[in-house]
Amino acid sequence: NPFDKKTRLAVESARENIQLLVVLLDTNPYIWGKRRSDQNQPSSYKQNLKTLINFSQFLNHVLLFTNAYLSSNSKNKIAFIAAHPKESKFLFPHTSTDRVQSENATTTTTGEQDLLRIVRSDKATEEFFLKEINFNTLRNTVIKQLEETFTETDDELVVKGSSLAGAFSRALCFINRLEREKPIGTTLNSRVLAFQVSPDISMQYISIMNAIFSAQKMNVTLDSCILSTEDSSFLQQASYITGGVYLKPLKQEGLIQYLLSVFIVDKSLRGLVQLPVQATIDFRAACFETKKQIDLGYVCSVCLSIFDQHKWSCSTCGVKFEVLQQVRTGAIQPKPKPGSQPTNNTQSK
Amino acid sequence: MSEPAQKNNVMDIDAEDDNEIPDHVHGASGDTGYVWEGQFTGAWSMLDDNQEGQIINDLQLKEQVRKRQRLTSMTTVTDSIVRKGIIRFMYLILDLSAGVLQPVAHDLKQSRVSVMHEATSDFVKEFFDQNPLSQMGLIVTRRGLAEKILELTGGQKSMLTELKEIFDPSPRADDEPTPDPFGGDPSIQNSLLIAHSALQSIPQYGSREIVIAYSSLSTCDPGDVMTTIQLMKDSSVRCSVVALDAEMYVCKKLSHDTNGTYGVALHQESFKELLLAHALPPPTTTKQKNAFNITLIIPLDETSTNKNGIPSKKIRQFIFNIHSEIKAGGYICPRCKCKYCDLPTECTVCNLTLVSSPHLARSYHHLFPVAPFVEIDAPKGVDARTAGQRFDGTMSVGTDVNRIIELCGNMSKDNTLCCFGCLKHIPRENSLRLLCTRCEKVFCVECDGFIHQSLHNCPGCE
Repeated sequence: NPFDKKTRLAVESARENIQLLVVLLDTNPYIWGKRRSDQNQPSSYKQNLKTLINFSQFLNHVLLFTNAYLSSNSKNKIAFIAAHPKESKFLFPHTSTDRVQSENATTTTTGEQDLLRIVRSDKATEEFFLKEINFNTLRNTVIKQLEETFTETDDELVVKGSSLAGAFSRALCFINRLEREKPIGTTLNSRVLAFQVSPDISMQYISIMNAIFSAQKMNVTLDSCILSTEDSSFLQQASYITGGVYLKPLKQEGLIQYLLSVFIVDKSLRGLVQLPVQATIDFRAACFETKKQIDLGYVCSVCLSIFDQHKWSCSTCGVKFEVLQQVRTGAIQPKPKPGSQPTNNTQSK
Repeated sequence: MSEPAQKNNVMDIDAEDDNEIPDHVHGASGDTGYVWEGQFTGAWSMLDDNQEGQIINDLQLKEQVRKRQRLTSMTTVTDSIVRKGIIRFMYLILDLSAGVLQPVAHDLKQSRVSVMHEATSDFVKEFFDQNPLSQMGLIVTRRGLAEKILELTGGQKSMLTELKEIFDPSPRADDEPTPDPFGGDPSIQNSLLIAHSALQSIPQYGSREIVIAYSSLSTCDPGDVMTTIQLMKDSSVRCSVVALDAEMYVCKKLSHDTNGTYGVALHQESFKELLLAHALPPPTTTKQKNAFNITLIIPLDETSTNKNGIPSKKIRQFIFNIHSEIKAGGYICPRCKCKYCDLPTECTVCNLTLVSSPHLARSYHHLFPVAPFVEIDAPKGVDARTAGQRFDGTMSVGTDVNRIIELCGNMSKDNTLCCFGCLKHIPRENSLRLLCTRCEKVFCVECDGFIHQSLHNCPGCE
């Protein structure tokens, strides 16, 4: 029955809902630039890379998707954050170099000035909620800010990879502020859509997990669209824990189709649509030393580092471990004392 | 039959009974009023005026400062990193004696039962959220006896159902009258002894804890409670007490000797706050040794069903030992191939601890906390020399204090700063501006609260 209670409730509750989508764009110039130069190479290598799109094609897809998203409901709101290697940057709504522009500054369109004023004072966030977002303003702002972002890049820091954790944390702070300042009586459904081309950085694991748990508490779902060649285990876990969608498109030149069929669906309607599911999520951790995935391992009780072999002292925090019962029963060899030969007997101590 | 007229001849027409607890008390100014009105008396004396004679409106600033003080009292950065007990085994002891039937405060009719129920349920949820690798058990004491309701378990659901059963029991099917769950005298010694014997089998890497929610003024013990306190101290069990009634010497000695904390609640919110403070990991004692913990990380089984209930790939039916239910999908112990439906648990066959990596990741923020932010503007009435002293004790080792002081000096004159997290403009007047010492970015008070309590990540340092 298409008009059952669940559908009716979902449709009715959508009337007072405001949807907020925060888009995280991975703008690592090294990887995007490498793709562009690989595409320009006239060789058979090019055929293999045909499915990888370059940045301008990617931006076209994303802006088209944004226009469709904003047109589907007048109450939809959107924000853009660029995850750059050095730090994350708000593309829309935008403040120039984190400082308030003086009142005499000239801007290209009046729409931009309005938006700048809107974001800054908390009395006027009501306007952010009540006014519709103009797509032209958004497109111009995003493109202009992206140009500035790419020209500011410092060459040394590029190979570090992009700061997805920082961008995600900023998105959560922004959502937290809007939750606090939203007009009375409305409910705000927020989600985050992350595009990733850089590989996972293991240093960011703790930060990303902290952000994921905080998002879970705030009921923010994280969707991820992977445009790199390998899967990203961090984003797989993130999407699973927060209840979002993880997608790695097979043909990247048709990205807009994936976006319009999967990522445009609101949270309340996700139960009604068959979305891509993850077959297996790899929750296994890797040993901190050998970096292998392990099933059975040892954990230091002080710093929670994971090892795949029995050790006598923790390499992360330096504590020495006490003698285990296993040594007494002979299951593990005792530590050889310096100057004496290692014993081979299995007798208990 | 009514009470003699109070000072200003106001008769309390609602008072029907002489023994009824009076609603009105004498306020600070001598007039009758409700207790909550006390915080607003004399508000005019707190107003200040600036040099031009205009009244300074800094209510917003004061509120922000108050909010922040609550936050910073919980987190302090010291020179050495304090080792915390991450893997905790805690027994929650509830005092269900006659004291719990008393009302909470003299102008609230709500009894301590509902307050205790709400606070303990929230505490259980918060405890398992902050410490996923830990286990909790439940002991109650009433009528001079102590009873262990629930053994140490990692399951939040069983704790919550047991609590609901105690405080809000569902009516029985048959017509037998349910026994009165509250009443009598509490017994500290009996409950401590039960908890002690249950905590003896805990391995050495775990932190053994007891939290007592006490609501009486006495204890009814079979022997000398001081010997039991000594026993707890020798077994390195950390006992803490949160009291709803007045302070007691026995509780104070117990918590002091075992390195726990003792808090007496002033009202409902403070009881909740005191109890929730125990959800954070405590510092470990020197007696605890480090040991390995053999744990296990299990992959999600392939035949798990997706959210819509449609099984993917093969359909395999499992029978679980504990519940004897048939369910598709779950976890398998890699050593003995036993099936479990939920993590974290301990394998009943081979005694291996089973966890998955998000559980470990939940505890990482206790080990690597975010350094507290410093205020850019010096408080009023402080001169430049002592202004730098406010940074003492708030910065981790290795930060360049002089550079931070210089930066704060430059920024405090700037009126155009925006919060890095939420893009809000923070004007110089009337609001707190906070600086992260590592990435030198400015944040507003709300983002600061959010970052330190929930997010545990500084967006600028990533």
